[in-house]
Amino acid sequence: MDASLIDWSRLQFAMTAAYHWIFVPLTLGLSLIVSVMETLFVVYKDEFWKRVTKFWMKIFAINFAVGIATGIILEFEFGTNWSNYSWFVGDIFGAPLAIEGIFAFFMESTFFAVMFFGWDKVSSRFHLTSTWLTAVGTSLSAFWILVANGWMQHPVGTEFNPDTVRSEMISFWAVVSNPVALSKFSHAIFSGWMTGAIVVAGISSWYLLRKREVRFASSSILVASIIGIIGGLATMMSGDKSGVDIAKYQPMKLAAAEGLRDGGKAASFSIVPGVEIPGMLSILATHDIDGYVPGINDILNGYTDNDGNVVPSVKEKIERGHEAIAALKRYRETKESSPDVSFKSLKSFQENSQYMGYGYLSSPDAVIPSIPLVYWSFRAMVGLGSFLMLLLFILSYFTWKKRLENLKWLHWVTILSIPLVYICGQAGWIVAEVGRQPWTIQDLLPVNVAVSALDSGAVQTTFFLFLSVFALFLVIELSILIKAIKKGPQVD
Amino acid sequence: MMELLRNIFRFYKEGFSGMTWGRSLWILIMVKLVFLFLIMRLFFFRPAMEGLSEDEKVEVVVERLTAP
Repeated sequence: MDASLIDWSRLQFAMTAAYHWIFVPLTLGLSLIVSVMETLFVVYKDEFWKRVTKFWMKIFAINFAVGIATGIILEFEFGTNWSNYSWFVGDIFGAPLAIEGIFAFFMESTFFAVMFFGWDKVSSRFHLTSTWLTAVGTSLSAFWILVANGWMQHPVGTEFNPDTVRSEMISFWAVVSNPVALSKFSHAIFSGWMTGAIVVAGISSWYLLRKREVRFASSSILVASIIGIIGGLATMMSGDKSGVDIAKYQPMKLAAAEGLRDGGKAASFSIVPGVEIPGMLSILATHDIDGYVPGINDILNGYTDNDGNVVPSVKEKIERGHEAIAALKRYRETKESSPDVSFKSLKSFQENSQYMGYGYLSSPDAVIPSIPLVYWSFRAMVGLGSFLMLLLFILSYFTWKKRLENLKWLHWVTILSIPLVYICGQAGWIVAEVGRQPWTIQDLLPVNVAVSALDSGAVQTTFFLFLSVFALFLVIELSILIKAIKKGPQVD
Repeated sequence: MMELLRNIFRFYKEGFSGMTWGRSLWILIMVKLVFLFLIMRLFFFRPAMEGLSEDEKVEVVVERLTAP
């Protein structure tokens, strides 16, 4: 397959997914923040909180309107650019995405409408319930998407059918309770809370800097920073769980994220090249300072994991992958004419099918993702995440002490942190998705087989077309947002 | 039942007609959906295996999976 076609198809998908992820975390975070603010209005019956809620709902609506349907483009790309992959996963993706569509449509469209149209038409408690259900609906939508993504990282609850050449679901529960999906879901949701908190704090700081809407801004920062701290702590905990999952199911991703060539027990965690914390990587990956963490060379050459399982070398996996592919071919060719040969071929395929994807790799080195990109993205995610947590603690402290109003430096730092929280989230996805290369489905389907046989030029054309249109929509969103922010909530 | 449906219809009708700043967002959403479904989907993102029967799709994928 043309390498240029694979690269352009990947780049196009990455751009679309990254663009989609600009809007999703803010929707997740802001929907919760707005729900809490409206709860304060209903509990304290203070009109001030109603107006605060209405302003942030407006920001939520602008973000939602520009973000809406950006995820659909990913589904277009599945059918056009990744048709082999789409066929291969059809049933597994179909169920979660269909449920996501139903939740997105019914929950969000119903309760979203009550949120915006129902202020003077339904009771305050019904309105509040609708606001909370919108928040729950957005999180549930994210859940089903991440179930699909989690399956690609750790394909469970399915069986490959050599007759239909697609993975078929044998346990819906196994797919839904996939530990990787659950870790990713919680990590995405809680980091979304942080994103919402930083955006609310950043916009509010702009008002404080201009000495406008002081009560509104301080109150918004207090609510946002508390939610952000809770979200941040939960993000750290889910990140810890995610690290253990990656060590277990995608050890190459972990080795690349650490730039770990040779692993071992009591493995060191790299802060930056040359600065390491002894034993820390073993603790993070296995929750045991003496836990064994394989490095890139160990994975290439084979190793014994912490449960005593012997993991074959990549060379051996490639050989078994070749055997699986040859057996699949033999099975299909002899299915009608020679049942005995067909039966033996099927058995051989089943014995080696877990390594089928390796049979499509050109060399063992093909299992190594881009180490610099994954390594530095991981550091960007963790470093920025830690900085933002510290910022949220500082903001909540000064808000609590009622000293926030005149701290210009802190206002500037908070405003400038808005782009940082987005970089942090995007870096996390780079670790997750670039780190699992070359696989579209871990160990089963690499990108070179998943991609459709298209003209590379056609993919380039749509890439640049999308880039232009996406940039235009982003500019429109930012201009509407800036206009709304400049106008202000006018509540003080 | 009819009364409930009438109320729901009225709720949406009044909501949409009473919109102020939301109107421009709806225009934006409509422009985007038209662009996505009537331009991108129809002209640029036709499914690669469109028009093939299920058996033909299987053969296309088998060809790719067994001839690496």
